[in-house]
Amino acid sequence: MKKYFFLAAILCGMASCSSVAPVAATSNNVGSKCGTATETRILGLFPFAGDHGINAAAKNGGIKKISHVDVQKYNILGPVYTKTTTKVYGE
Amino acid sequence: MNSLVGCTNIGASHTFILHNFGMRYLSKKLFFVLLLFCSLSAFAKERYSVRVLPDGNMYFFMPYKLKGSSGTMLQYDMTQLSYSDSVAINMTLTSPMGRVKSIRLFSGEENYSTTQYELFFQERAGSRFNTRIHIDCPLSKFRRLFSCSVPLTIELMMEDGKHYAFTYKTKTWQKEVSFVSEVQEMIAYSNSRQ
Repeated sequence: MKKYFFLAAILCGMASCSSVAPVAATSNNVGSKCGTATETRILGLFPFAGDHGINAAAKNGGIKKISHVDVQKYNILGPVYTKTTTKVYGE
Repeated sequence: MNSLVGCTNIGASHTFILHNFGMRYLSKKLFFVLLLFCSLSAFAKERYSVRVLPDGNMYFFMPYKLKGSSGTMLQYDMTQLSYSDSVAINMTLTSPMGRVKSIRLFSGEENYSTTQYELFFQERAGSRFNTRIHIDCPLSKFRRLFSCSVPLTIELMMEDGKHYAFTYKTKTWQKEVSFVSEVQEMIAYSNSRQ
């Protein structure tokens, strides 16, 4: 039992992480609105819920002028569970 | 552990003492416990994010899903600006086709209701429709709603007379209240420093 616990701890600790990366920036002023769009994948193959495109995120936030875009990735055990969130900022 | 201790000038006697007190076992255990904490902290979802703007800060509360009866769903997110007197709430209602008439947020005796909303889009999602709307909630009302101990309910009245209600679970609501109060404290602090 202990072995399994330790093994699970190692696997989780080494293979789950969350990171935010910049994708794009425009010359527009930094906006006060934010819109997100999320896609979840299992084993890198099956997209559960849909569309993490810039267009979808801007639409969700009611943004017409984009100032910059970030992407947040969250993984568990590498490709086993992946959640990608696109955050669009603007006006 | 041996190699680590060996690198120091303390010498073999110290290694012996460490072994004697079970430090080797303890450090191994400590290592795994730390690993577990790291993984748990990665598991913990970020509920809000902060962005610096020219006039202050923007606090964005990540989308949260609330399930209603008969397959309806409400996903909402909130944007609070440290210099604004209202909070922007965007919500997506997944339900049969219909037009929203009014939105009501209530928690305990606190209540905020409005018919003033902006429709972002309404589109088909399988057999249902996604209706994305935006409302502005006055800051004082928002603070009172999100400091109540009674879980918040978001109710949407439709033009055809139907209404959809979405309520937090008590445990999640307590967490949500603590997140919101954390942000309010940060705003109060940053505003007091200016």
